[in-house]
Amino acid sequence: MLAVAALLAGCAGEQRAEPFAGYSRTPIRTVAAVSVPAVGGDGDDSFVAQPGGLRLVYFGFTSCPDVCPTTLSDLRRGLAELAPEERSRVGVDVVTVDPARDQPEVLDDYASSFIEDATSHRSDDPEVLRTAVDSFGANYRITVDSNGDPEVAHSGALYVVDDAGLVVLAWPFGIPAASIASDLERLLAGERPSDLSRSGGDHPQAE
Amino acid sequence: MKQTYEDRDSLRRVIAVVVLTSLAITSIALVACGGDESTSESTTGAASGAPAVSDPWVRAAARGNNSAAYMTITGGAEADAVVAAELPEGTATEVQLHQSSSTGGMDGGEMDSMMEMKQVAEIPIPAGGSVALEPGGYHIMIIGLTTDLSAGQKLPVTLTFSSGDRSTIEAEVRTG
Ligand SMILES: [Cu+2]
Repeated sequence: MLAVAALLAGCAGEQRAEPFAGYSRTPIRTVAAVSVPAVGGDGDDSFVAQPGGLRLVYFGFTSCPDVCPTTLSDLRRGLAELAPEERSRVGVDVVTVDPARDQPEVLDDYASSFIEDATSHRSDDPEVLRTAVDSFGANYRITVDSNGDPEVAHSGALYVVDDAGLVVLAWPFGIPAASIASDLERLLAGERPSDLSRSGGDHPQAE
Repeated sequence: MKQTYEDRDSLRRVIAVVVLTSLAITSIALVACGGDESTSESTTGAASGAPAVSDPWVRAAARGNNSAAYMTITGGAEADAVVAAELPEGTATEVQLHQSSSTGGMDGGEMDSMMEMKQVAEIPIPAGGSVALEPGGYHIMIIGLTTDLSAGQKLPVTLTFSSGDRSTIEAEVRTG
């Protein structure tokens, strides 16, 4: 017990910012050049946020009954915790990894049933989808099971993209709504995970 | 230090007993409330050591979509398993037992892990333990809803156990 307390005190003494609930990558990924056509035509094909804003990008599919609705419902609850001004700077994008079954209307209905102002993205070109998925560090795989039904595996993460097209944070499957909200508040205030910030008193990295 | 751990253990035991007792009561109450012919086959009850179900819920979804049912199932003295689940006629095209799990890659690595979902033949219930059907794990997969499931609704879910026992519980529809 004493040892743990000492360790905790030691951490606090270093004056490092509290870690984000999500994770970040080094080197940071950019998706500035990535686009997947927005369904409906009035949305933005790209994933770059408006100045000072953030875009939250999810790769899923509509016949997903377990993993996708869990994350999108938690995201809805997390977004509801934001102040209206903060919420207005956050966009949500749902990209289908199963375009063969997810026709545009179905996809749009599905996405907006969770988050009303979500933009859905869909491409019939597997290369467009694969390029986008790779750029985020995400993954997906569609196989056929013994009954001949498609089985879809996909990254359960939610990705946060800033106004420069940088993937500044990702939340793994199972992230609680409250963690989404608190990370978003800090990101919207301009804070970034310490391993991403180039200024702010961190020691220069040896590597 | 030792004293503290012992205290904590006995506290945990008390909590476990309270939880198990309330599970058993809930399960009896739920079976009793079912009251239709689907429960008449049930020979369950805490005395026979049949599994008890707590906190059953189903995700709200519109007709045509898929959904899933979740709950915690606490086993009796012997190991058991859920081998089938059914919904009332006219609810969905198909009901299957499924398991979601993480596969490939590593979050934050070169490529993030993926979630995949597979049909399973049974959901094991350990003797004297419990199995959680929860998002991202075991679930009762509801394929092709033929009716809307709206929050607040109650949906009877009939479970068949490997012993042959059947039990019908009322699951609450939630937005999840
Ligand atoms: Cu499933």
